[in-house]
Amino acid sequence: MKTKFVQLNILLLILGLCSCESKNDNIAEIAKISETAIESSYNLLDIKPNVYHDYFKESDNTMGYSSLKPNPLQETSLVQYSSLSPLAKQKSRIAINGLKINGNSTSKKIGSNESNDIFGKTITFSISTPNAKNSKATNTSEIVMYVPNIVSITNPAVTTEQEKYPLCDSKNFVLEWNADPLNKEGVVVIAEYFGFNAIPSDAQNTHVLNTDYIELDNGKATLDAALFNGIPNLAIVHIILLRGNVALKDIEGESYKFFAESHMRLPIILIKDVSTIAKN
Amino acid sequence: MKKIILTLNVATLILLLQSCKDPFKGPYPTKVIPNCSWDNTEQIVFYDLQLKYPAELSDYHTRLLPLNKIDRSFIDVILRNSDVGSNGFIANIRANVKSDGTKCIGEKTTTYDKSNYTTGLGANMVKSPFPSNTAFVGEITVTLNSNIYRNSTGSGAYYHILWEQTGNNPNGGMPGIMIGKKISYHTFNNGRSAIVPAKENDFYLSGGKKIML
Repeated sequence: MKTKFVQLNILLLILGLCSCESKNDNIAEIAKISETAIESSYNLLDIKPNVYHDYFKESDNTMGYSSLKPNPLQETSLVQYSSLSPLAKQKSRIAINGLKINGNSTSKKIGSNESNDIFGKTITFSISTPNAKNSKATNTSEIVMYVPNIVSITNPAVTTEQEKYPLCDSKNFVLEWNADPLNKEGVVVIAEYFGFNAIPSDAQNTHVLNTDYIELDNGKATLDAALFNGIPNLAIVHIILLRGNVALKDIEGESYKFFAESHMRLPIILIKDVSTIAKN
Repeated sequence: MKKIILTLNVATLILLLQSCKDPFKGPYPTKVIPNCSWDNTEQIVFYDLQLKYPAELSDYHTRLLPLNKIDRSFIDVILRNSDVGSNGFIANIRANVKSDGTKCIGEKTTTYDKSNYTTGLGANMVKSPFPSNTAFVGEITVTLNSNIYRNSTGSGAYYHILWEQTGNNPNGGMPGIMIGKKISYHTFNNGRSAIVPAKENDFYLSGGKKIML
């Protein structure tokens, strides 16, 4: 009988250890959900773990690049961003592709020429800190990451002022963009509604921001109709497509976040009821 | 004795499960960025504001505009007359300030129209709440909608003009040159309304393809 109890004990131990292993995976998923749940205004439709979640983790130091194309006919605006802790400002030398970052500047607009050295390239962030034992030596940590090409929506295509605000069916919305086969992080698509409507009396005093994740950066996707939840027929909507990369690292007791992303806005008129389009 | 051993077994199992609670003690930070507090007010300034008008405006509307059909003040658009009665006075401007999420998370929208524009709208400036718990880094979208006008030259019974600008300039300035979009529509006797696209855009997109009207 004692043997049976010993066997039962061992069985429970094994069960316990196995459940611990599988629970780790569950916790990983739950951790991701709870991290994003507070971002209520972002209305995430897809909470699968992806690199973009890391962008919303707090760090002592943050640096990177953000590129915006406000609409298909406007120039891209590129910003270099850095936010360094007092300790990092005092002790660290931080460089991107060998060029030192000015730790005192929070962010600055940079020329489009510089974007050629960042987007579609593998870039290196390096952090050098003084060696505690030898004052003349430094410890250098490097973070190497691929930054996808600047994203550009190709369909719906808008190449003239007359083509701005294309009418787009919400039920079968095919979005096309310049694929980047080297980007393994997928793309983020957002539908943003500021409350304006093609029919002025249907305007609302509201703001909707629905976000979805597209796993494959292959240049084409049919958007989930849920992306347009809470947005009325004939609404003026911005389709935002974003891709980039994020890296997190602890260096000398401080946390660092490195990122580079580009996004484009495509303003459209959203059609939920095609009978509300009249022929000219 | 059996009960004691069984109790010990269960206790062991509970202890093991408890040990699974916090398996993520890796090198990455796990704190989440806080929501923005919006207790600051700042001005969103447009450089060289030029609100350009598209073609096919009504004669009535054209007569109210500067000769070059470029407005240099948001207030002029907000206060300009409409020719469709009291229902036509819908002009308003909306500023949406969105944090990029590196320091705080959130967005805020402010609207000004004829009734309240004096509280925060200038010729080339819009006042808006800004994050107070951190320096602002993010994106600003400003949308201006004109009053409604009767359509005498284009398609549809009525139209309004929409201007939009989005900026991420860390120094706060917004590009001021915008070309407005004319949006035409019908309102039927049954109260329903329908958008009327311009002749050259007589289609909508579905499944990535043009569906002609």
